[in-house]
Amino acid sequence: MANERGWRRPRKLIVREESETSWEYGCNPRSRPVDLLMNSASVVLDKQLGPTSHDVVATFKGLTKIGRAGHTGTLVT
Amino acid sequence: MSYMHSHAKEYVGVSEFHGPVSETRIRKATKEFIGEIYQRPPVRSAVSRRLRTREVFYFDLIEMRGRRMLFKIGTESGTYVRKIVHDLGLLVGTGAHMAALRRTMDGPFVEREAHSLWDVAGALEIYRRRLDDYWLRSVFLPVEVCVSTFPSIYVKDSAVASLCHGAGLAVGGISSFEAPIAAGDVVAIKTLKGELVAMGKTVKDDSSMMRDKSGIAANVGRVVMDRGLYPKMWR
Repeated sequence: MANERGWRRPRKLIVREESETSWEYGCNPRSRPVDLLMNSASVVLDKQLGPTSHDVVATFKGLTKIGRAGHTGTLVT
Repeated sequence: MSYMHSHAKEYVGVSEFHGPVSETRIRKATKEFIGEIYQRPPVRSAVSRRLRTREVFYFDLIEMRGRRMLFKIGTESGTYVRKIVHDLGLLVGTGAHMAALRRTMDGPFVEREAHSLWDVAGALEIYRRRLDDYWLRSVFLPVEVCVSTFPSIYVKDSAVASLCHGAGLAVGGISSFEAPIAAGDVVAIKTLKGELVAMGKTVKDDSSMMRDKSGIAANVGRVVMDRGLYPKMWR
């Protein structure tokens, strides 16, 4: 089954030129400051039957007090 | 340009057949839908109704109960599962419609990692009260996660600021990349720390990225990183 999943193709890292990165700026994505993280994060939401995607996004915006939120999960059947 | 809608999807759903039909017959029929299939988008759809091909990676019958079938299907983005269920009904001769559908995977995102709105509220509350970001970080995933299905190109620190200003990615700015990459592929352009700088579209393939001494390897589409995070290093 694993091979049939076309989106899980194995990739190989190829180094063109070794280079060092300075830790004076930027950071590992997992330890990004929360304010920066919240600027461009994704949340996987479990949408139940009933409320529409629009309702869920509206509630989510209310919770986070974030101005900008959208969804990619419109279930086009 | 939207990169997030192009992911492959997986769904679990229920199909209801309009007459008695054997499980073996259905199992055999589902095989016909695996691989490239032709589909015309339904009358009520958001896209132009031209015949198009979509790939179905797998289509498994999980359980039969009476005339109802529980199934799991993995498809390319833009495949109409309702249509497949309808066509499956025609193929077995009884007709069928879709009774329920739930998306269980969308690119790198899977159902078991999904959170309820209560989880979101709780994580935010804990963070606000105690400044403990553990739960917040388990719910709010960094942007890098949602582009993890695209191959990455890691660039030198000196190339980051100009990319943030929309400049193309020169081969000289590349430190490493994930092969295979073909010309025209959508790629995630990242720093050596793994931070997403921008999404891009390649104009060179992996072997020319290795071989060429100069030239543009990829054009920059949407810039994600804030300008000013990395210092300008050009003269």
